[in-house]
Amino acid sequence: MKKIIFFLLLIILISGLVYKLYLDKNFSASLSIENEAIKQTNFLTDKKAVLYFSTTADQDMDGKGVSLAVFIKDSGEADAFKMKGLELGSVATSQNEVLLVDKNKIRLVGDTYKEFGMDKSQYTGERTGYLEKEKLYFTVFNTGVGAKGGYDSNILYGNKRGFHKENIPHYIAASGIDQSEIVVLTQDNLKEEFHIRKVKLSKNDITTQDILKINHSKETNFSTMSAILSDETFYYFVGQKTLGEVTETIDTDIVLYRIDKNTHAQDEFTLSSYRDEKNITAHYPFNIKNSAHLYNDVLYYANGLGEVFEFETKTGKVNKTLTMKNVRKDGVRHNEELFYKDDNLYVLRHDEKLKEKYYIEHYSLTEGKKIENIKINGLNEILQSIKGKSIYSYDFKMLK
Amino acid sequence: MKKHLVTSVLTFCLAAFSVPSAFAQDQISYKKEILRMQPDLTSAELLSSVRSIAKNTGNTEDALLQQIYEELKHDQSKSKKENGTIGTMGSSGGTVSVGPSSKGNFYYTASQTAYMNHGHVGMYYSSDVIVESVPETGVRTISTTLRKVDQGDAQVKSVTTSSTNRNNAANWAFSRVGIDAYSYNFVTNRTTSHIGDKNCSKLVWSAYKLNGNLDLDVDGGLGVYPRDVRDAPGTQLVRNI
Repeated sequence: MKKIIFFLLLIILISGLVYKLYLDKNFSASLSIENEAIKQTNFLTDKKAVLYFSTTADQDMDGKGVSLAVFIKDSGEADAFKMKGLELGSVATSQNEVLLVDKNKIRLVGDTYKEFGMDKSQYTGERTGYLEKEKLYFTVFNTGVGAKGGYDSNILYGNKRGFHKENIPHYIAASGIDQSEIVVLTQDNLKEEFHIRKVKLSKNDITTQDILKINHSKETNFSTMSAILSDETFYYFVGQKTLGEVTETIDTDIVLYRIDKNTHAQDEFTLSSYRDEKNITAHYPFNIKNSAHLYNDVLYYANGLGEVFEFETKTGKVNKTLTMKNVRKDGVRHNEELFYKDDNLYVLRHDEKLKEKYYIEHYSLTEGKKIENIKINGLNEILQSIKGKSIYSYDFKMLK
Repeated sequence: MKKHLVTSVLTFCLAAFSVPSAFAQDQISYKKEILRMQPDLTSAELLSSVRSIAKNTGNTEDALLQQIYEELKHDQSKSKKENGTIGTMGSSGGTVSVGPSSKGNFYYTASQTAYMNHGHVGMYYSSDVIVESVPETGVRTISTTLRKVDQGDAQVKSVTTSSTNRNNAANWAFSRVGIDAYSYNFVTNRTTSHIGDKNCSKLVWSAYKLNGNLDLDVDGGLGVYPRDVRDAPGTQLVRNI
């Protein structure tokens, strides 16, 4: 009897120690890429995609918010690099290099590893990108607190030689890149106005130029459903116009806004409409910031129902070009993400029935059909290893 | 020898894995326990607040510390009860956008920290913009389409009052954008000024306290926590998320 008690106590002791040492932590480190590994110049050589996940800003009350840059190797294996949290954080890419940002650090990974601390932590991202001509990375934040009582969107920009901090004194509803400039759709909530502005980066300064006020009826509620895209003549973005009161159902139109850069003429094209819709967020794109794409005079827009619409910029004609299969119609997501490149649309998908829950679907936009499924191994385990916090997907980019 | 070993192992286990709640009630240092449960709150801030309340109410500092501790324990027990039914990524394991709702409504979501699930609330400034107070940033706005929460773990609620009060409350909350920084003090936030640093529940509570004299707090006391706002009388469920 005493032996049984002794062994029972011993088991409790060992179990307790194991719990204290390994399990009573927020996160598993076993799936993380080591700091030294990510600093290797050949780190990206065998990586074909990167995903960005983060906790939300409210979960950083204890300073333990977390973000993950999950790299997918050529073999399909997923490896996570753990950073601090940044809600709506994203990844910028250039040739053989990626920009990773968390709440207080910028990292350049690839040909040369560099990291830069920030003088002030940021908690909400807006956009990251790379301006090819200027050879400048930038990261724009939804900073919130304005020293002068306004709204601040801080911007850090630079390259391996260093980063410079400036401020865009507006709340940004959508943003994008037009060749060597950043284009933002700013929202003045008091005046209920939206403005298109251009942000030009120079070595030690930025200039923000007001382009035009968007024609917007105050009788309808508006929210953006895409980034701002541009060609030689126009700016484009997709928005949701909500008609009437939002109750348990919603009446809404999804509209493509087209703005002539020279004449400032504004046109609207309805892509789809929903009436008395109960699942009011179901049509939201998997990632609003990556939902639209311009290629060969066609603008593509992928909604959350798996439908991809095409808008022919020369004729104004709207078509549905493809529909993904087995997409949930209730707005519930499992980290689905979108990435466009030229004629290709890559979609991160989740299927609970599969052993490896996540995979990438590869579509041809011009052919309107799926080309292949790309395997991912171990992503679900990485996400499941996050304990005590909720993390959400915010970006996805193919690297090859 | 074996008896001695068994006793030693048992003693070690108790010492190593015991939790403070195992101590007798009269041995609890309320201040220590409050700071353990709210580690981002500084001792100086807690004591300064308690002294100020004691001066204004005539209560003893010890009694106030005990009240704060009991309110925290109550919120913690609610959190544990809800965590028992809701997983880390929501009951279904999926996530959703908060989505639109009417101006003046608010949303609640679970919000995990290392020490407890505090919950979080934010207010609809418009159908498509949320105004909320988040750590360090202070009061920010974010699109309802971009704000993600765990499915099954969140809800949108309305406040039963005039549309004027709802609009004014939302306008007031929005007016704090860029002005009020974040406060880690949940424990006495009912007694602190409406103007100044505040957390998420204080923002919504103050907005309606100043606009309609509504007390969006289910159990009163010294602190208004996100769940207190969520469960307050005079609030109606609009939809579960």
